Amino acid sequence: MLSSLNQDMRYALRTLRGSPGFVLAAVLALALGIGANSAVFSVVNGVLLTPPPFREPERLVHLSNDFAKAGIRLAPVSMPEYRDHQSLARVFSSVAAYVQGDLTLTGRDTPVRLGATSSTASLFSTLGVTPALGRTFTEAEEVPGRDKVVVLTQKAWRVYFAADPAVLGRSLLLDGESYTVVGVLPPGVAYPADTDLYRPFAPPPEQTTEAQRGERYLSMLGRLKPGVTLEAARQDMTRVMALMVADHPKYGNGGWSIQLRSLEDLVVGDVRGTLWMLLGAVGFVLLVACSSVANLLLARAATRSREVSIRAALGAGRGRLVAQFLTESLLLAAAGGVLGLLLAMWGTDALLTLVGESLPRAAEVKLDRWSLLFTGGMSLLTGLLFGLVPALQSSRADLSAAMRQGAKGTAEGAVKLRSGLVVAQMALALVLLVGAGLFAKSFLALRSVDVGFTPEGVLTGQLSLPATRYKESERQVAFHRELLERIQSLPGVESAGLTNILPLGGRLTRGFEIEGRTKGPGEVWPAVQFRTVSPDYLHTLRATLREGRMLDARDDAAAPGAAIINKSLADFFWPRGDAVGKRLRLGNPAAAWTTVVGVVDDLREWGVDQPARPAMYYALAQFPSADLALAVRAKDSVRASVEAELRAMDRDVPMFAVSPLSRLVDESIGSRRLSALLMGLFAGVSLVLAALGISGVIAYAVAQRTREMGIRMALGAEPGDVLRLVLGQGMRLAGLGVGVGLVLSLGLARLLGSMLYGVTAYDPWTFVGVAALLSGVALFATWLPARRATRVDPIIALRAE
Amino acid sequence: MSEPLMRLRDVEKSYPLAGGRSWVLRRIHLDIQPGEFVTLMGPSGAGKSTLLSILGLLDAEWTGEYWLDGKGVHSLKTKERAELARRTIGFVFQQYHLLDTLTVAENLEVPLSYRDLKRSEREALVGDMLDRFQLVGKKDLFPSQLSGGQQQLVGVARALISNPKVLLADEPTGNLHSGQAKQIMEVFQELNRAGTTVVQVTHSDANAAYGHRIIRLADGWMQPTPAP
Ligand SMILES: Nc1ncnc2c1ncn2[C@@H]1O[C@H](COP(=O)(O)OP(=O)(O)OP(=O)(O)O)[C@@H](O)[C@H]1O
Ligand SMILES: [Mg+2]
Repeated sequence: MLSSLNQDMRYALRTLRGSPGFVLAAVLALALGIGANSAVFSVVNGVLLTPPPFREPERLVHLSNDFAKAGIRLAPVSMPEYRDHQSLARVFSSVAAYVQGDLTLTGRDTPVRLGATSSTASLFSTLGVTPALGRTFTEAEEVPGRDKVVVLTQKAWRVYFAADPAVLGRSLLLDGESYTVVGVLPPGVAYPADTDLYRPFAPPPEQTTEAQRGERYLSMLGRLKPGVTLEAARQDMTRVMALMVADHPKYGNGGWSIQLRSLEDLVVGDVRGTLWMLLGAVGFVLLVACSSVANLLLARAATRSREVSIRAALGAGRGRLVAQFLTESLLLAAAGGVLGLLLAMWGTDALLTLVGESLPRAAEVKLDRWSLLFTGGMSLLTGLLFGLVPALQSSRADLSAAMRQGAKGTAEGAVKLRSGLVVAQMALALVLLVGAGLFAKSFLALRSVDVGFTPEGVLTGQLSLPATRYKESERQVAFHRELLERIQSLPGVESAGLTNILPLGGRLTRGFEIEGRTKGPGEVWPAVQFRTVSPDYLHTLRATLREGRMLDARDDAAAPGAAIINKSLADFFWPRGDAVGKRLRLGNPAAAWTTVVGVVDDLREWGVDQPARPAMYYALAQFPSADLALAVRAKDSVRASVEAELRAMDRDVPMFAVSPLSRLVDESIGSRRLSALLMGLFAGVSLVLAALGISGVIAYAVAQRTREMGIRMALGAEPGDVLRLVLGQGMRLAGLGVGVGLVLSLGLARLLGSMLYGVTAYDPWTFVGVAALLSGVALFATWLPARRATRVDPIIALRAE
Repeated sequence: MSEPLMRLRDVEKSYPLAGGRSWVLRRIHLDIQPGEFVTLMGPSGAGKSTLLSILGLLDAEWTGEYWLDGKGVHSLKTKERAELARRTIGFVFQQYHLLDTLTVAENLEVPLSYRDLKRSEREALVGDMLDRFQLVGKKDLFPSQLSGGQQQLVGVARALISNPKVLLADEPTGNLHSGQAKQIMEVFQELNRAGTTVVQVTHSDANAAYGHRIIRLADGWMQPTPAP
């Protein structure tokens, strides 16, 4: 047994060495298939399959507010709501609240911006995380004055503190205030993503009063009690909501609800479908590669049928013959696997670069032992898959038949099998092409969406004024004005503006009133996005003014309040186009009235694929903010000079998250670009493999039919007739493949529906175009070997026998 | 005497050989009249099959002059040559060369498929041929289900179906026993009497006896014809 294996192995190596061209083609096809699969698998594994480093993560749920009528979805909760949920809900063993923010670490060579999450002490127990060093904070520290402690993530500890254990107890200067490091978390724990450190959430008492019920800014997590299902928890929260509605007139007559999503859904829900779809698609590529190699093996087996019959005549049983062939294919698969692994290493990096920031849990993606296991298993499986068919086929060679009629009988069987494989390849390639076509169309549709602003040529960055030195709004306003003046005078700068939130930068809604309007019973007003912007901001983005005027220098702190609103908001309240001159007031009754001075076309600030929402743009000078984003429209790269101006003004105010606006826009459709790109790549590879497949089979068939072609030519066939005959054979295969592929695609397209934009999953043009493309390629791939049939010399063909 | 159906002048054929040429046919002068039944004989390798290929326009690589049915083959373009062949030539082979995947009837139809005929015309011609060669009962069988003699009968029927002026046969009975051979030869004779010109290659004197005239080849040269 072992010795026969050994012998099979030696013999297989020798045969393979004898045909390097075949080996190269087979190993390359397999490496492509296996490598692409391993790369995509390592992403799926890291993002979807690797459990997060929390205890029993499946029990973690995220709570949010929903008010569908006003377009409010997945809204945060307010402090009073958090308290209510905590005391009224029966399904959680613990709950936690947190707010994401940033702090600037100073007292070093250069200031660094750290992601700082303010959380209740319960966040750690809710997640089920114990610190690697020191401790996490306590409830006693959730009080202003006692809250100057931080817990570092492992990554921040390594990057900024050189993994120095002595960091415990050390004090850090964050936004000008001193904090003490009390603990370091274990590796991999950083929730929400981008958190570098945690500090206690310690709101001043006036921010926790009942009056704050409408101020929703807290994210909330709960850990379900053991055995409680998500469904049961939803029912319990419906009960809690009903209690809250009964107690607080603020909720009006219903419509509010509490949404529960598993933490997993929250983090990876958006990409799950796409990733599984890509894994499926790349699996198709592997199937195509396998059939290619099986096809090559069948072609080879045909030339070896004499060898097989001699071996059989000498007493080799069928098992031994199959083992011999399988040893060869497994060797090929192993070589393909090793090369594929190299491709996967490179491919995984390439994938991560491609998706950039848009992929959650990207840090978890690596070629770990699971990926290695996957690759190994994949290679073994493919070796069996593409090896078994030809092995059985060629070992079946009926001995007496083989002796009697030479290779003819088996050759015919092989042509049939190979034709079947080609049909399968064509069908799979068509499915992938349809997918690629649909995603490409979606992507093009997205690219041609008018977002309402011109991102090209705009540099953006975030900055944050330390609360200690810029407490008064006059100081903030002065800083803003000077900064903009300095930047605007830089060479190359066209214009510059400031805003509290950049396009794609997040949501912030505020309650508001309209002068002379009261909400009728049952009337619902949309949630309105609140922006505060410098005079040139909208101009810098090249937003289009519809009516009235833009904000300008007149709208300073002393002037009456002025605001721009977008068309969605104007159309909702003033459909007759008379919005300019009307007055609004933010939720707080003490606030002054603000006059609408202009209307701009909608800016798609929430993603290219998201509809615009009602929004208002207040004057920054009248509503100053310490946390701002800068937008600079410039002809050339001005990043260095902008940063230099900022440094010159205050060396402790760094600019962070610097990025061209166009990149932010691109990243917002990153997963769609990834889908389009990868599907295109997969489809391209399969198309090439399928074309080679059909070409190979036709070439083989032409060789088999030389005599027939000779006879036909002797009987009066012209080259055109012979060409048509062979093309017909190829096109029958292609047609069958296209037919099967179309049916498959129609079945699978349904799954793509939600991932597409601006095109239906059954887009007839895509289906027709792709079928035409595949047929065209097949025709060409058939034509190449078919030409050879026309050059058959009947005299030679008829003599050979 | 009327114009010969086939007229060869100085036809030569050679293959390039290391350092020179290997001659297969030398200075062939030959006239074959319409309605003749000619037999080509000679030792193996003499060039009989080669000459037959040239006569049948399968081979275009030769020098000299050849008129077939009044047309100078040597000056025809490929297309015209193919057209002429379709109109005048029918081939019968030693190995029958039937298409294994086609039935008897379908095999008969192959030459017609390369001629401009309606489907109904093709079916009628196939039917006639099946009748004439008493193959009706076998029309749906595949070549592998026929005896050698029957296969060659199909081969002859196929050669005749497009009503050629000349029937060219290269050792048509080479794979048959004498009884079957006799049957094929009688068919040839009958055809010839009905007006078809026949040129056959054979090693058998018995077969040669059915013809009017024997042309002997040796080493590519035509041998002087001994007086009868
Ligand atoms: N492609 C070729 N290259 C070189 N020489 C060739 C080629 N084809 C045929 N010949 C030679 O031409 C000569 C004539 O061959 P041909 O087949 O015409 O002989 P034949 O008289 O039909 O013999 P047989 O009775 O054995 O069928 C032979 O010597 C053969 O070797
Ligand atoms: Mg011969």
